[in-house]
Amino acid sequence: MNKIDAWRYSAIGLFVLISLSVLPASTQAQSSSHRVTKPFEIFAVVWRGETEVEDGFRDYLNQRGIPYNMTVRSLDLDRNNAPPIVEEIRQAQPDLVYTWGTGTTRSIVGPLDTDEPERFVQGIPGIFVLVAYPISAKIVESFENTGRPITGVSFLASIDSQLRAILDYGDFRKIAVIYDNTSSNSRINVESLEQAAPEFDVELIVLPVPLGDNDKPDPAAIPNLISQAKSQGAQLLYMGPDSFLTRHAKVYTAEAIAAGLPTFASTQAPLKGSRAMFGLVSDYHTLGKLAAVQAEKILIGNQKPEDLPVASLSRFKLWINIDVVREIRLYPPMNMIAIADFKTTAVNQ
Amino acid sequence: MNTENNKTFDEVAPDEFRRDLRKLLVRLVLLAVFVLVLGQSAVSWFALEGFEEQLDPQLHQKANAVGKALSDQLSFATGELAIPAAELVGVEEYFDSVLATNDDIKYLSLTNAANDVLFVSGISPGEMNAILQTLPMQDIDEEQFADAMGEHIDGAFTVEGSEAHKSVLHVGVSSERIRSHLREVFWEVITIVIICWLVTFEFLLFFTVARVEKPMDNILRAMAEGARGKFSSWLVVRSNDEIGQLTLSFNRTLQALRHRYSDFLFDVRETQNAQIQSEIAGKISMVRQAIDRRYQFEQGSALRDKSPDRIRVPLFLFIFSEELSRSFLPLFVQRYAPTDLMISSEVLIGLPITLFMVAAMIATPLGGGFVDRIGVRRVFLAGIIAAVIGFVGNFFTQNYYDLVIYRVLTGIGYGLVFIASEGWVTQNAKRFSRASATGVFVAAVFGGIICGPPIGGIFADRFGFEATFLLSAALATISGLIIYQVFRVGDSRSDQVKTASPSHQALMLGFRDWVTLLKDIRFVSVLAFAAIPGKMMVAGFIAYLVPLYLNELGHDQPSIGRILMLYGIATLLCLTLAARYADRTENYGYMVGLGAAIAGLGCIAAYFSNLFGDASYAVILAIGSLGVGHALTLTSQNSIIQQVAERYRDTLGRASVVGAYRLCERLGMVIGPLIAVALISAFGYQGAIVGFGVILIGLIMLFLISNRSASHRAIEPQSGLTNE
Repeated sequence: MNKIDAWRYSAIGLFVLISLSVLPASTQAQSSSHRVTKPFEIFAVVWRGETEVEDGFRDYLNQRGIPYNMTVRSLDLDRNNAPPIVEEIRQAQPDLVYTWGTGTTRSIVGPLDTDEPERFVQGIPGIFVLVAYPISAKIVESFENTGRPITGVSFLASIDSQLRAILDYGDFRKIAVIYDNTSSNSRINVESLEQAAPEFDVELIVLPVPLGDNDKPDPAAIPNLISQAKSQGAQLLYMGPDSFLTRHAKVYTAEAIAAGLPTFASTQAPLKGSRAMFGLVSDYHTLGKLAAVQAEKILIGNQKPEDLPVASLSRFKLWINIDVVREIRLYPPMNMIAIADFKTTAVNQ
Repeated sequence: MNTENNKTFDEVAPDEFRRDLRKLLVRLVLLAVFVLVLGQSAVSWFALEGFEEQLDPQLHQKANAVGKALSDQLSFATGELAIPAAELVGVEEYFDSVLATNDDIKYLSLTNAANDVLFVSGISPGEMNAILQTLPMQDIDEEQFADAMGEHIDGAFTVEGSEAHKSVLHVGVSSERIRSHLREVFWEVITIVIICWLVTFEFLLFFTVARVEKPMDNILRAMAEGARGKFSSWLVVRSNDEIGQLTLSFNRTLQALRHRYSDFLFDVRETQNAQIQSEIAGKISMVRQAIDRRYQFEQGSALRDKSPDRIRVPLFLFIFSEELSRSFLPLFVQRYAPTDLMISSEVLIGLPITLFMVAAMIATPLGGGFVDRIGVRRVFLAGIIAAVIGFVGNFFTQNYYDLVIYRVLTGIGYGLVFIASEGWVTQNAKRFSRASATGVFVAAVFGGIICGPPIGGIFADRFGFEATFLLSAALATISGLIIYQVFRVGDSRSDQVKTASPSHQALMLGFRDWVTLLKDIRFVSVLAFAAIPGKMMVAGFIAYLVPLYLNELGHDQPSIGRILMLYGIATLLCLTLAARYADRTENYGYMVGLGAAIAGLGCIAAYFSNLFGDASYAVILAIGSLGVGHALTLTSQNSIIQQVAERYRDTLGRASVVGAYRLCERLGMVIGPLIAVALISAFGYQGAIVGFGVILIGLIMLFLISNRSASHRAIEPQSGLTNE
């Protein structure tokens, strides 16, 4: 039985660092290409300032000796800031457009089925990162065939892997999901969870965040939702790729700790910026490198973005915030200690 | 004994001398072997000792490797992550996963500073506590190795943590695997020591007999003849050593005597011719005749050393060569057995063994005829050539049919060598008691049966099955060379004795004779209920079932060979005792019954294999009891058949009856593998062993019943026979 467990740990291949196995493939691409003298122009649009993803992206291009100029603009959490940037891109006509996040991508390159293509950047190769559900967000047709001159990297671990990681940590059979019902990303995520849960013998408590006066989800409702989850017998809180909750993660995780509930996160932000207990996430730096591999194929390898499938990481990082663990006193099993990345949250540093 | 009474006064002294010389030589050989064994044992012991010394560091190393890695992990959890040791989660699962991939690790345990078991995996907490009790008090900050209950090494590693939460990781490394390897080596050494002992004994005895005993014996015989006034013999000089010199000067003495005698005769003839008076001439003539009566001087035949012993080493080597493949032959056949035929693979594996036996069985009586016509030497050499071609052919075997053909060729060779050796022993056994002649045979054959399988197993394990056949060919060739060198052309025929081999005599029997024999209950019962089943066990159980079964139980070739060796050892050890006991009680039927019962019960014990723990022990028991059983039955069966043959001395001839018996007995060799195949496919290996036991017991009951009724009736026909 324990041998099987051990197998699971390694076979799932969730943990440890991201495999860089995709990287060597590009070696040939560069060596076969002609020597580039004129730097490539890359135009990056981010959601709220630069992240480690961009660092990884730049590191890879630098390592490969690819000359480039990178212009970075931020939407500062507001889609209304997009039109002038779209205009600027049209003027600049860069070799590649890089977009961070679902909102940014949709407002810069637009959805697949838009009626107003003139509002978006068209005809310039694009790469997106940190888009949780690019298909349902109508950014690409499918992972294999994007259907437009855009490709990207996916960053979420599969729902199955996430549930396995949760169950490997502890016997959490009742899991509460608090989510933003107005976000399609969150809805899709919850649907996938509901589909997978029975297979893992897990009971889900689904709690949408009520809307406030402005018809937007009300952050003030979060503490109440957590105590509601607690009273319904939840053993763990699940935090999906939900930008509303990510924004209010500090309150959320503080309430969770106060209620003695561990929080699992499927994205890095709540682990890094607030006090979620553990999560199965991609490493942002490596994610950036993977995006740069895609970029290299387009810029140096002269491949069309529409021919490049959306790339995924094969390994994810099991991130454990040990200070939160100590507070809740829910220690990870030894088998997990051997492979997890232990951090201390910013609050405790 | 009969021969004792017939001895003339002259012969007594040389016979005593001969016996003493033999005793001396055997003692010398035994002394040499003893010294050899002593030396070998000492060397082996030192070698094994060295192993033992390396054992502890190896165990420490293993414990260290695992202990360091695990204690680092645990230290990370309890130190860096500050998780209290007692509150660690999933430690036992973690330990289990380590144990699953490390066979040598017997247990893993985490204890706190107060020596309480927090977590343990591999053994129960109670057992762990018991082990902790036996460990010496230790400084918690230092890693330390200790002997735990004599079975494993306990390595203790400190796990970091706050002072209150310091803990200790215990790693129990089992020495079992290294020890089992050590045991393996030990058994291999023992095997080789025993075989060296046997081979040395065989060769030393062979050379001392050939170079010392026989020439001395011949000189004594010539001297004894001299004492009777016969100076016509001369001796064959074989060597240039002291005995050769003695023989040479003895020949010169005889030669000089002959010259002097013929000079003397010349003088006498001259004197006689010179006499005119017929009366005196007549007296001289009478004196001459009287001298001629008392002394024999004209050059006669050479006295040769023709003892059964001389066939011993060549026969031993040949049996050795054939037995080399004993431990793996069925597995070798299995490799080539075609799978696209309608015949089951068990049958296909058994077939070459059966056909080998058939070939040997046919070659034996036919070869007997050749022995009479062309001599022992040539038949033996023909057999060697056939066998060597067979061995080499098997080395090059490409497919199943090749394999079968070459096995058959080896079988023919086997039959010829066997009959040639038997012929030699029968031709030359007259001056010896029959018992010692059979002794020569049995010693050579069982020497080969003991040495072949283990050496073949070790060799096959290192160099492969095919290469082992080459070794067989080499050994058989050496055997042939000895025959070629030692047996001079004339040796085997000069006497023109047509008593060659009983097996051949059997062919002379007509249909009516066979009917007569097959009506004889004693003959049929000893044949069908004791002799044939005995051969059946050798071919079906030892040669077929055991190698396959042991292989399935996970034994390697050396181990299979060693286990097979037990049969020969058990037989040889018990043979002398059994023969002595049987001769004293003269209750041969009882001995045959006892032997078969021991063999049968040993096999039936396999039914309780589970009680043995390891099923191999059931096989070992069966083989051992079969060896003991055969030792008890072999001589007694012979005695019974001699008694039966005695009754037909004037009608069919003794040798014919014995020959018929030998011929029919070999049927067991043919049916053995077939019965094994049937039993295995019906009941599996374990069931087949039990089945063999049941067959043995069943048949021996029939034997005892028929024997009893036959011995009741035996009185009448026997008396009738003598009246004729």
